Amino acid sequence: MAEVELTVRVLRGPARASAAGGRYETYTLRADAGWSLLDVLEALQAGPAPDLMYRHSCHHASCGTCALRVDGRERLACLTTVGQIAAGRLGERTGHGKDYRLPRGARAAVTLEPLRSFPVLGDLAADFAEFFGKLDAVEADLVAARGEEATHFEHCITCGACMSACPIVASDLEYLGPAPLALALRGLQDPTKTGSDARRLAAADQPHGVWRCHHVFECTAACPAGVDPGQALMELRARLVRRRLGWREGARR
Amino acid sequence: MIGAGSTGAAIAHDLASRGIRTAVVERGEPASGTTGRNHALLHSGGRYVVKDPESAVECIQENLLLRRAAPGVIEETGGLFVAIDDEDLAYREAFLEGCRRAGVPAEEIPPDLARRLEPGLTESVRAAVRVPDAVIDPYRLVLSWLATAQANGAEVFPFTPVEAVEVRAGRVAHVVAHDLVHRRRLRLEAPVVINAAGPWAGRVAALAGVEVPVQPSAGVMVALAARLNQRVINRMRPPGDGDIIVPQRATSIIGTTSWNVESGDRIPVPPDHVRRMIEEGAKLLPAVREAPVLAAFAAARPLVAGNKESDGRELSRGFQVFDHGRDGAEGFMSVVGGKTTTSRLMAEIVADRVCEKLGVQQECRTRELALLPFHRFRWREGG
Repeated sequence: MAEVELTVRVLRGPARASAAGGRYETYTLRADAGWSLLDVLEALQAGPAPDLMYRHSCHHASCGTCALRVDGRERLACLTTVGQIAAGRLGERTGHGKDYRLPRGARAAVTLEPLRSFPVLGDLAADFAEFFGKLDAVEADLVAARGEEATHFEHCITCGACMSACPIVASDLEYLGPAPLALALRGLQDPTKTGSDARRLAAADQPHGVWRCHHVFECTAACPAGVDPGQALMELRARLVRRRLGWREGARR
Repeated sequence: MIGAGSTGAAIAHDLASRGIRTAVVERGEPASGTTGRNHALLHSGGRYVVKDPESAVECIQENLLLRRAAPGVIEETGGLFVAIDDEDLAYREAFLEGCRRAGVPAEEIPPDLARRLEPGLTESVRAAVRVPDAVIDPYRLVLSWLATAQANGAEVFPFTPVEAVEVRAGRVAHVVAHDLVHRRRLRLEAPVVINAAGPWAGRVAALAGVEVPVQPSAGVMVALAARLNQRVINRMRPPGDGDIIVPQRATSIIGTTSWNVESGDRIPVPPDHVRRMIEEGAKLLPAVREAPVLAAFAAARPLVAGNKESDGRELSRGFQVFDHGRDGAEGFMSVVGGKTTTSRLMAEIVADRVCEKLGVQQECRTRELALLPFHRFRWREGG
């Protein structure tokens, strides 16, 4: 595949309370159009930035570790290819193996920043400790149902993209946020009835819970797994209202 | 512990649960090497029953234990072995007999039932056998092991590459590591240091002035942007290229190939391997040919070098422990090889040896212990 002269601007810096306060370092390298951003970051680590910190694990959009801000929007580094960047097609879900018919000597530039509203362990690595604490609050450990019918892992990969994109999370760090609330709803729907629904509802029904959402749906736009947390939040609100009114869930009226 | 893949994380959990003070240093994110990029298969043992029955027995036993210990990281899909040509069909009897001997539950079902269960299967299915394969989330499993170890007092340092393994007077003395999170050098004194660096084990061993015969062997996997099957689908034949499709979340992952590489770093994904995966995968599920590729990726299995019997897909027992006392570094051990499915057993064997060295008498508890959820893991103390 075509080679691209890629200029990468990386927001680097030591551990800090938020992405702000780092400094931009610029690197230029020759990158294959078929590379993902994880290949680019590994090449930087092998060359000019040996201590570069970034998170990665599965390289196929299942583990939720590699979400970054790519030119200001949340993306999974594993699904973002050099070809997409050079062709201006960021966000296309299936860039791998696609030939963008780039001209010889193509050049491109990209800016990489850690997720917003997360503390930073260093460079591009967000610290998920507080986020994971919010998953704990809604008992987001769903168990795959047993039996003849095959059941799926949650589509939500807890990558944090929705938390970074959400303007409310940015202004209220205690706000549970889209992914934990979407998982609270999944917990309520879980046929195996694992975990405490009372705890999930209590977590959702508090000042930093589901009522904080201003329905801008940035979460749904940013989600790389098609979860639609915005819709889940609305459904959770509806459930809480029905409860306040004393309506039984699932009853016909 | 040096390394926080399946091996390091499972051993850290075992040691911490026996009350042994444990620290784990990992150069990057947990499970950022071979483990994170594995095929996500919780083996039933079916793939080993003919050529390596011992591994098959271990797989089915550990498969059942892990389901109990960490149900939240396992999708109980079940699996099918299907024969689609005469050659596959000739393997059927040996396969069923192997399953019977290894204790891998196997139920032969009529081909039309197999196609009702998995409508995407090729029309050429000639025989089908159900086995208890499952799908695992390897990243979350590693975090669960580490979180449980942390709760039992272990310290875990991600983003902390090892710089030196100091050996004095024939004994390992301490490890120096660069903690990139706190921007400090750590000096960890320990009577036992375990090298669980996977395909990088040779590099870590060299820091202590010893050698480990590890041969990294890469494999390509192709994740499709569609889930074409609900169960793990295996080709009923001896393990080979592109003979298994694992459904995980919204994808189907086809695997895998096998070739030798220098280290686990910067493994290329050869386009012809991707094409071969799609060609072979399409023989099982014809829709593979039309489905867009979500991601193609490669990882390096850390094989024990000189083991000519194996190309890594059918590695006997899967792992080896090297005690470097013989090489003039008492207390330094390397663990090479292994499979995520059988990591708990491997950890038990290694931890038994560590206890022996330390003169500690504590029984292994990991058969019964449930793991904490993955989201209890913390990247730094007080985090």
